[in-house]
Amino acid sequence: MVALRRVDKKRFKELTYPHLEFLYNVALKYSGNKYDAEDLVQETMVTGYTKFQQLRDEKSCRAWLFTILRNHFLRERKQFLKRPYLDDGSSYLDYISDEKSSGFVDRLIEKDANKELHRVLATISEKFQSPLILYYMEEMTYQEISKYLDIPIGTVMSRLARGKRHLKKGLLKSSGRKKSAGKIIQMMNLIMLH
Amino acid sequence: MDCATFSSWLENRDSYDLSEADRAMKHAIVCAECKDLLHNDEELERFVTRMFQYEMMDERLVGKIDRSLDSAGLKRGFRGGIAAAFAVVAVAVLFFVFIPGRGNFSSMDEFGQYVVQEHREHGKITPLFEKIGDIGQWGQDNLHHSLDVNTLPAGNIKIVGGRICTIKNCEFAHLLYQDGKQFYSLFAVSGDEIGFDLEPGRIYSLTVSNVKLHVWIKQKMVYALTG
Repeated sequence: MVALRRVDKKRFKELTYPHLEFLYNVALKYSGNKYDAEDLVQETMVTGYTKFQQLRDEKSCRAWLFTILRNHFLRERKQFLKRPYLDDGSSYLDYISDEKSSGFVDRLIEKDANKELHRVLATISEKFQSPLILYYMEEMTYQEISKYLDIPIGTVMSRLARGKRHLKKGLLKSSGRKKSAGKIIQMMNLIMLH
Repeated sequence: MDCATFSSWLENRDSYDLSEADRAMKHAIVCAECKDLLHNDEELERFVTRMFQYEMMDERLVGKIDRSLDSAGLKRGFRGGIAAAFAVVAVAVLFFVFIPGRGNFSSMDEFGQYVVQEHREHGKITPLFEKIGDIGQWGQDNLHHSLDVNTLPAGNIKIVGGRICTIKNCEFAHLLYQDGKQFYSLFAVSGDEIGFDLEPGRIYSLTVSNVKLHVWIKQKMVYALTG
């Protein structure tokens, strides 16, 4: 006979809702906009709810939800995997070394840094995105990222190195396009205050 | 370490051994250009970290998720109901297609094979059989049918005891008789449970796997006696 097991919704919420902000921010980095991010989180939560019995260790709930979200992202947005690899072989340090000072940061801020970050992230393959997100946003160690993504630590290190190169180069390139800085300091202060 | 190696290290720090960091730092102390590069890269690193900071989540998202979960629960229940209904129908189909009617024996031969097998497997294990005082009453109590075993087509056999057994979903009374060292099994089952016809008053004799068997029907009860 078919056994219909009832999911304890209250327990599900207790365990998963504290991770909503984390999921939303990962989804935001993946998708690049809040609407897609919200959809991704909702899909993740529904999948998590229907598969709640598969969660063996409650302590690993955050990683479990992350895996579901990542799988949704990969499955439903396959076109993102075919993103151009945007590596012309040049070094991002070339962009830094042209600068007398760290003026690139000001210009990035001027260009709405969050949008720039999302734009550049969107050009990077997921296999580099995920380690970057966990490293910068969650401040995870290589070891922790390795466990989360279930990949060898050496792979984490090389993917992080390559991911950072793409990310930094993308950001610096975008800052270089528009050199006429406006009220840089004022905006920087605004960002800092925010 | 030279400037080129320093740049390479700076750009790929995550994949370099930690010992390289010491050498790179020593180079940065003596090379102003690389020191600037390091300073700028660190600033960029801090900037990127800041950009990755959590952004505020729309509080309405929690409500949306609540509704999604409610909806998922309903769908789940609906799907579960369909699955359960489907399972019930499947079981019913299996029951009617593959399982013959209760106690249906297609022939006397088949009936004989089953009772002889039961006799062989259990017909000598006397502890299985309880002592019986009034057989008629025992039959009524255990099989809900009275048994008429006053006249048997065998000689001086004495009852050892009785048990209820199930053969092909039919409840049988299994009475054990003994004549010296020889054991005899008498099986009794309601005539409604078998799937073949017997002529009342006639005793059918057959041999199944070298075991002689007598079968007859009396007052709607079918009897089979080995030996």
